[in-house]
Order: sequence, then structure tokens, then C-alpha cells
Amino acid sequence: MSETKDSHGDHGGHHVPPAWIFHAVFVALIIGTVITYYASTIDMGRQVNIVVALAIAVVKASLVCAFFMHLRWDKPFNTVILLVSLGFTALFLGISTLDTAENEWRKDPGYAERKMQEARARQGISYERDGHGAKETGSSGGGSHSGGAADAGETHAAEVAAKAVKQFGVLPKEVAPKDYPLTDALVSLGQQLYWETRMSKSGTISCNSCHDLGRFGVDGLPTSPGHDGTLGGRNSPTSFNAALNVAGQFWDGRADSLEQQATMPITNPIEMGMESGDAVVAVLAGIPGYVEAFKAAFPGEETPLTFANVGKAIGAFERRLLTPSRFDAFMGGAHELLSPQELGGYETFVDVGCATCHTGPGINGGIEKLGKAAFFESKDQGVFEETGKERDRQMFKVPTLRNVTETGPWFHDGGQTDLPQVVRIMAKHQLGKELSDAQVADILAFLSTLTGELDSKLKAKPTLPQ
Amino acid sequence: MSDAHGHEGHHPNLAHHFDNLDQQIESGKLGMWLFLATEVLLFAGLFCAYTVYRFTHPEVFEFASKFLNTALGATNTLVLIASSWTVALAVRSAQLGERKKTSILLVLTLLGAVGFMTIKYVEYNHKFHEHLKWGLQFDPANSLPQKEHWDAWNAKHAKEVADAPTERMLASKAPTYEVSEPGDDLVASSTIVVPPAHVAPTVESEPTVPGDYDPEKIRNVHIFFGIYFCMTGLHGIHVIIGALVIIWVLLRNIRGDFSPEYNLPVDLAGLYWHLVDLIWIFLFPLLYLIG
Repeated sequence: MSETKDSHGDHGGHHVPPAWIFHAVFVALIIGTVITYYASTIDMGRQVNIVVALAIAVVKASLVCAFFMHLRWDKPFNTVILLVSLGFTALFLGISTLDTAENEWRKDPGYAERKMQEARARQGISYERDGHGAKETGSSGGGSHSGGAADAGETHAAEVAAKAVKQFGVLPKEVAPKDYPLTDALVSLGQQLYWETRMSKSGTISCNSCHDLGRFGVDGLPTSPGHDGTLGGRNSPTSFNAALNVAGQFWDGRADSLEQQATMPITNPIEMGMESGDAVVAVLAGIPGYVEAFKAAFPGEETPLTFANVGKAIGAFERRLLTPSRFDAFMGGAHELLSPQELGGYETFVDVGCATCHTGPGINGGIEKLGKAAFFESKDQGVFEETGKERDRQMFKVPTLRNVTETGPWFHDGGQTDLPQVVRIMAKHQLGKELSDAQVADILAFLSTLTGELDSKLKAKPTLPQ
Repeated sequence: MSDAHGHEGHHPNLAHHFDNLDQQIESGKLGMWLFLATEVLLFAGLFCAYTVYRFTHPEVFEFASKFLNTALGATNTLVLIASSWTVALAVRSAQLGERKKTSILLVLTLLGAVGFMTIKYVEYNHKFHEHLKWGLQFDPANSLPQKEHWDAWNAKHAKEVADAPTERMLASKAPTYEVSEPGDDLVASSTIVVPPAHVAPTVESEPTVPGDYDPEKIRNVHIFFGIYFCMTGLHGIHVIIGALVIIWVLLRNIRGDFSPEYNLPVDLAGLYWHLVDLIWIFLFPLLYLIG
């Protein structure tokens, strides 16, 4: 038991503060609260307001700790405990904030652009805009290097080409199927069937009606009308390079192969409108030319004229609908074909992140969420419409960017007619980035290099069997 | 004096593992401070979540803070400060052996606790009614003050909105490949300005929530409410625990357990209560006084 007594009386030797101290602290706390409130109504800039509010809070807290909680008169070690806990809190919040600050650059729209400039500056190339657009494909954009040595430009183009080949690969001449041989007989039958309007209810619609080989495989409409004029729900994807789709066919990838997909619009009531596969077979069986053609295309089969074989033939034909582009030639070694803007456009395309989804020989991708980074309102819920699973909401197949400048209008509903806006929307909603005008222009320049043409024999309408 | 143990000459409250009462009291206080340190770190985690999210989405906090009733928040602050004052005085009067005064002061502290929880109840009730909750349950469509919020937000950001012609971006011809003449530097053409990062431009989507609230303008407001309910909820739980502890100490005081030599439980209960007050001192400006 403690022996000490002091003027406050015997209370175990602990200091009893005079009451007025508590009253004074109470008043100070009230005043501090009032000041905090009024300070918050004055706009001193976001940062300053927070600092002021916290500073006052710290003063109030110190008063509570020192006087109400007796630290002023207690053993100092108690104060040490408090300060250590506050110190660790400060460390925790401080380091987390530093980490967060690092991520802020991602909100800077000019970041990728600046980085590219710096990289180019390091290589001694000065970046010059020549304003070449899709209308002038093949023009001598490559001649407008200035500043750095032509050699440096040449090496840079070679480097970019090497990287691009790793990104996109080499475009094949045809996409060979795994389970059957791609014979010319099969392909030419498929070509005939592709144009065959007798396979539709109205007798006026063929595959080519909506996937027009003379128009880069599309019809240029937001959605396409069927045999009775009813409009479909989704934009007709291009048949060009469709063989390179890795995630199936249709905007939701629900058809596993070209061969499977080819049969589906034929019996779709709002598209070609045939009652059934049997009806299609019946029509074709009534045309002797087709009976012969099927026998030639499917040698060794007892009944070659089946609906599945119709799809197989059309699929086989589509496997040759590949369009080598200027960019493919560039990747193949013709480094002078790309202008600096187009080169820079490819680099922007990769830097911004477009190539994470649009990649490979088809410059397409798998099934991705529309509105990944920022919500995108869409009536059409994509794969969800097919599977009914919540996690499939707004999941769509990433389409090919080959010939994208020619295959508008864009998006699954054909809702966008302005390609620069498409690029901006993609960047914003899929990557969470705001692109500058320069970046959009460069990306568009690059996209224009992806335009290619079909072999004229494949493009032309064949004579249909009678 | 002897007690039931048969021991002689020591204070009845002295526990056997301590040499003397002084040591016991100091140990008790030390233990309490160690516990308070852990409480500080507990709330530090939540404050960290707050810090990171406010740093990355200041616009969400600015907007959502307006849904909170600042008057009620300020009242609660004053109530807690007053109850801190009364409990500090209660500890003092316990040290002076003034039993009756201690009881009265503890009752006043409890009234503060009840007042705080009542106001909290009113606030939470209002929020639940207005669907101002966490996660997907957040739906301010029916929340009355939202027009005021938008007016206040728009008034503040009018200049920024004017500089970010999002409608123009949509409707007009966005630049084609020929963006600038050769030799121009790479600054975007002067008619179209990239909006500042914290103002999300509207794209052609209709608001999914009827009324003035536009989810495109400010996204993920529900996260603010997640943080709000987590922090004030945990704090509210501490208030309740503190109140229960004070009730217990009050009953012990009435029973006559305490003396000038031994009043440690009152002291420790007071310390806990002060911590509750301290946390609120920080919560109030950070949640209610933004923007």
C-alpha cells in the first residue's frame, strides 16, 4: 500500500486533477468541433480541407488523451504504447496511399502517348503526322521519315514488325479443318451454296445477301433483314477471316465451327426462313446440278446430299476467305509499307491494351465482357441470352479487326457508325482509358492497314447449278 | 483487518499475484492501454480502406457524403464529447471517494450513450428506408435529397462539366485520321477536351435508375455506404459495449465496491469510453464533412 499522501488526500498516490481542467478541455473540444464544422463549409480546395479537418481532430484527440485519459499524469510508458499504435497506423495508411498513388497514372489519358514519344525520341526518330488515312492505302507514307537517320527508321520498323509477328502470327492461305480434307470440289460447292437464294423461303436471300463478298463480307446495315423483311437482333459479322475465329461463330460463340454456323441462318425463321434441314435438302435434291456437285464433293458417302454437308461445304468455302493485308505484308518484310503514323498506331494499339483481346492471326479474341472496365448499357445480354447464367451477362465474342474500317456499322447491334467513336468507347469501357485525339487517330491509321482483299476467284459469283 | 481468506493487513481488492495495490493499479492501466492500442489498429484497417478508396474516387465520397445528415452527425459528436467529459469527472469523483457523485456522472454518461445510439438509429433507419445501403442494395432513386445533391454537385462542377463536352463528343464527327497538320505538336484539337479524370463522361446509355441519379456520372457510390456502415457500425458496437461496461461499473459503485484507494474499474471503463469518443472525433469530419 502506498505511503505517500499529498494535498489531495489519501487516494493511493495517484494524481487527481482539479475539476476545472476537465471543464476547460470540454469547452475546447466543443469549440474544436464547431471550428471543424465551419471550416468544412469553406472551400479551400479538397486537399486543404481534409488537412485542416484532420489537424483539428488531432488537436482534440490530443486533449482527450492527455487530460481525459490522464496520460499527462500517468507513467510515460502508457503514452509510448499509444504513440506506437498510432505510428503503425500511419505506416499502414501511408504505404497504402503511396501504392495507390502509383496507380493514378492509369487515369492519365496521355500516358501511353508520352511514353511512346519518349521511346521514339530515344531512338532518334521524330514523329511526324502525315494525315494519311484509309482512302490512301499503299501511299508512300513510309517516305516521310525526318529527323533521325533512315536507318534508324528502318530498324525501328523491323523491330515493330518482329513484335507484331509475335502478336499476330502469320496469316495462312486457308484454314485447314481438322477432320476432313479441304478439296477444291468441296470449296466450289460451298461457293455455289453461299450464293444460293433458292435455299431461302422467299427465294431471294442467300448467305451473300448479308455477308456480301463484294463488301468485305458484310452488308453495311446495323442489322440485316430476313426473308420477310424482319430485322435481326445483331449485326451481321463479316465472313471474311471468320475461319480465324477462335471462340466460335456468332456474336456469342454459340456455334463451334463454320460448318455448324452455316446451317443455322438457313433454318432461322427471321433470316432465310426454311422450315427445316429436310426442306433445304429437298430443294437441293430437285436440282440435278447439285446432286452431281455433292457427289463430287463428298466422294465415298452414300447420301452426300445432307443438311450437315451443306454446312460443311459452305464452311469449307469460308475457310479460304482470308484477306492478307498491308500489315501482313509489312510483317512479312515489306517494312516500307507502313507510315510512321501507322507504325505508331500499332504501338499505341498495343500500349493502350487493345491487343490483349484483339490478337492472333484473326486479330480477334475469346468471349469477353462488354463493359469490363466501365459499365456499358446493352439490351442484348450476349451469351446470357443463350445460357441464362448470370455470369454470362454482357459476354460477347471479340470480333476480328481485319477489314474493320470497311465492315461498319460496328458493335453487336451495329449501333455505332463512327469508327473513331468506336475506338474511344472500346478504350473507355473495356480498358478504362480515355484516349487522346492523337491516339485515336493513330489507332485508326493502324486499323486501316488491316484491310485486305479476297482472291477475285473467291469473290466472284459462281454459276449456280441448275 | 482480516477477511475470509484469513489474511491480514492488505487491501481487500489486492489480488494475490501483485505485491501491492499500486502495482496492481498500474498493471491494470498498462493492460488497458495495450488493449486500446489493439483497438486503434482495428479501426486503422477500416481507415485504410477509407483512405485508399477516397484517394482513388474522391468524387464518390463528395457526392455520397451529401446523403449523410451533417446536423445529426454533429449532434452525435457533441453528445459523445459531453459523455467523455462526464465519465472523466466520474473517474475523478471515484478517486475522491464521492460515491453518489460518481453514480450520477456515470448515469449522465449512459444517457449520452443512449442519446448517441438513438440518433444513430434514426440515421440508419432513414438510410435503410431510402435504400442508401451497401452493395447492390444501393438504390437512391427514391431518396428525396438527391436533386439537392445534384444541384450542389453540378454547381460545384459546372465549370468542369462545361469543359467536358460529352454530348458534343457523341454527336459530332470525332476526328478522322487527319487530326493535325504535319509539324503540329501532339496536343489534341482545341474543340474537344478530354474530361478530367474524375468526371466520367456520359456515353449513350440511359440511367438505369429512374429519377435524377445518373450512375454514369458517378459510379460505385454504394462502396461509400459500405465503408460508412462498416465504420460507424463497428463504432456503434463499441458504444454499446462501452455502455454495458459502464452499467456494470455503475452497479459496482452503487454496491460500494470502490474507494479512493481502489477505483480502477471506473478508470478503465472511462478509458474505453474515451477511445470510443476519439474514434468518433475522426469519423465525423471524414464521413460527414466532405465537400
